[in-house]
Amino acid sequence: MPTLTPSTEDALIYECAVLYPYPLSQKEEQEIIKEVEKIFEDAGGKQIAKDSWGRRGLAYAIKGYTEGCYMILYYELAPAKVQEIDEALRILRGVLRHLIIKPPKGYEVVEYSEKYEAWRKERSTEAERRKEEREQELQHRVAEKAKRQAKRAQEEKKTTAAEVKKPMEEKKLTEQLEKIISEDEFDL
Amino acid sequence: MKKNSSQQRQNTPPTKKRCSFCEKEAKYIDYKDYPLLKPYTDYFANIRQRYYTGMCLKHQKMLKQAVERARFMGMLAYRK
Repeated sequence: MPTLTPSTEDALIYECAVLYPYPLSQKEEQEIIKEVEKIFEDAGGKQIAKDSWGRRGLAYAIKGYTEGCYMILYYELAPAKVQEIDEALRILRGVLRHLIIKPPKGYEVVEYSEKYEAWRKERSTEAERRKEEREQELQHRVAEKAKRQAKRAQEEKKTTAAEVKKPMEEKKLTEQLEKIISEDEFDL
Repeated sequence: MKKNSSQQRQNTPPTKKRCSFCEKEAKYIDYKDYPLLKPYTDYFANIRQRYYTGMCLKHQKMLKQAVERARFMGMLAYRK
């Protein structure tokens, strides 16, 4: 990417970010872009680079819009013209926000439209990974629960079996005792 | 138990946090790179203090500038 250096001493390089709402027809979108570029050209600006980001979600609603499109323009301008452009952009319909700044010395143009997509992909893959991990954990938990339940069921079976056996034994004992008593009584 | 924890604290020397932008030798923090700025804001979208992030003063000032620009353009939230 080229570093930004003005060709003449009178001019400086300015970076302008324009935000316009997203759900627009193609005609309106192109009109807005044309008008913005016209404002710069009328002020005698020379376009150096352009980067349109496309559709992005907004952090907060601006004039009722929750989604917008960003366009970043790099222009070589005379410093006196900046205020005019600023006011013209403020009046221009269809532009939600605009920001004109002076990039620092030795600033390189970075195309964030590409970077953002790469970042988004990375994030989505990370989210997928997390999802998979969660699912695995859940499966593990379910399996453990099933194991525990099986164990409990086995233990319960054993205990019930023992309980079933015990009364039988008691019954037998009582019977034997009664027998003995009766025999004893007879003996007595 | 109390004694143990205090002893451990005495034994381990305090670790000095490092400015992550100084390591990259960043000359400028770009407001357009808002995914990078997001970790430096807390849940309520306030800028995290230097005390917690370990930033140097120079880069903290740049960060403030960048976050404020990003907020104006609707990339970052003012308040959540």
